[in-house]
Amino acid sequence: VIARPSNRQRYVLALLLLTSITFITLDQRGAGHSAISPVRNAARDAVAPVDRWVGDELRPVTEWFRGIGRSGTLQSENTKLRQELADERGKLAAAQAVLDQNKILNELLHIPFVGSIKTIGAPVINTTPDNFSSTLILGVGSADGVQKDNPVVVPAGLVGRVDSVTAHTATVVLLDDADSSVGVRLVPAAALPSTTTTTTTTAGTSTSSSTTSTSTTTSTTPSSSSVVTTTAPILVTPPVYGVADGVPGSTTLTLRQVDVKTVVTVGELVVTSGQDLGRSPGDIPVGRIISIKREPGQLSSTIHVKPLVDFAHLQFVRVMLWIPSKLPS
Amino acid sequence: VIRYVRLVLVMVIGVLLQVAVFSRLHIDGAGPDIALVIALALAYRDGPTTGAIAGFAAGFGVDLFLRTPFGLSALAFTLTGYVIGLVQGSLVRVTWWSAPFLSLIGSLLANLLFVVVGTLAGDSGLWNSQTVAVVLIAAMYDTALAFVLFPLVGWANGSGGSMGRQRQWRRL
Repeated sequence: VIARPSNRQRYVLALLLLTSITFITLDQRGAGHSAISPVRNAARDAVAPVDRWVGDELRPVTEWFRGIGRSGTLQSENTKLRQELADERGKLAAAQAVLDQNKILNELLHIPFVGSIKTIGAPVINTTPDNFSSTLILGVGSADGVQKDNPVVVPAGLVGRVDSVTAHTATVVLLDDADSSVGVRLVPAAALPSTTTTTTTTAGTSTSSSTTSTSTTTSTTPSSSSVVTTTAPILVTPPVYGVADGVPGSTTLTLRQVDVKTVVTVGELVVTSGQDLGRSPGDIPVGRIISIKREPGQLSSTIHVKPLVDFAHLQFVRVMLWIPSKLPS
Repeated sequence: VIRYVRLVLVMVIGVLLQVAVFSRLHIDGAGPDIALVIALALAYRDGPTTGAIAGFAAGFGVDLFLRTPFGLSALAFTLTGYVIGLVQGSLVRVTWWSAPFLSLIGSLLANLLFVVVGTLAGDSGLWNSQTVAVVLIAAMYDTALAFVLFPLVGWANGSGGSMGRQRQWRRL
């Protein structure tokens, strides 16, 4: 039998619950934004140095922890990686000459799809300390010019967008977070002129060639050391647009608002459309279509997209200092 | 006064550990709620009023670092601290597993409240196919940490063992 609470106990509980509910209501209605945001920002800024230090010191431990619960996957991954490593070692010698040149080019170009948009490098210092969202905390903030809604990228493609900024940190909502949705365009393999598409695999570095006068978009996937060079397609069919949403509890994205008459194939590249109310610039690689499920009697298919970026092992990213109002028309 | 200073310090360190250290030590996507376990330890020793206040403080501290509505953790932890405080007062016998067991129940309750109230408040991302697994793993993680944190909080609180617990419970 649970002891009957006294009046004082009930009074304290009611008071605390009311306070909590008031905070939630204020926060949800945005009225408390001015009051709550600075407190949250100050707390995050205060903890950022500790966070950064702990992150550096604990990296071996955190890597070990990431493996818990994934030992089966890790074992097969390990075998695959060993095989890949053997292959890559052979190619490394041949690639050495290209490396120096590539390094200089990389410094000049940074990330190819970024184009002329100014970017800033940022260390990933932590994730949000709850179990229900997919976010990163970066070691740059408003003092470095980062603003809310800035896109965050790595050479492999889009990582997410900045959700909130403090003076020295920025919280990034990853593509696979439930709150994330990004306007995308499908790049069908058939729409790419074959003469201008080159795929080269080298050991850890990437070279790409493109012989065309039109603008090029390049995406690199370091994990598989492959380069896919796509050219602004000479479209025979109209471009296919859609919206890629994060799925709660899943690392893949789903595509919606894709025209039902469109023929979509597995393996197609998905890039940002630049049309989702200007939330991100166009042509940033997002992912590849991995499955299409057509339920009988349904008007649309469920299309799953696997992001090109491995969110679990990001150490450095680039924040594109780009906001919708600065979108070149 | 020294006791309160010690408790505030313990809570601040707990929140810091949760935010900076244990947020990196997730198992299969689930991490522990250090601040919550500290609040549960206080509820276990001092009863529902202290439990509710400690839960509120823990939730408030954690809320500063989350993207979920501000006050959501505070609400969930307050109620949990209160309930665990009430339950511990009704325990006829205190055994070695009472503390970890209450920690398990408290963690499950707090996380479920967090998800349910958060979903009601409009955060649709909280309830998904992984939620149950995450809540269960987090609860087991919290239970394991309870073995360390409960005695530690008892020391900071200046109350020893089950006798201290019962003595203080009568005082409330």
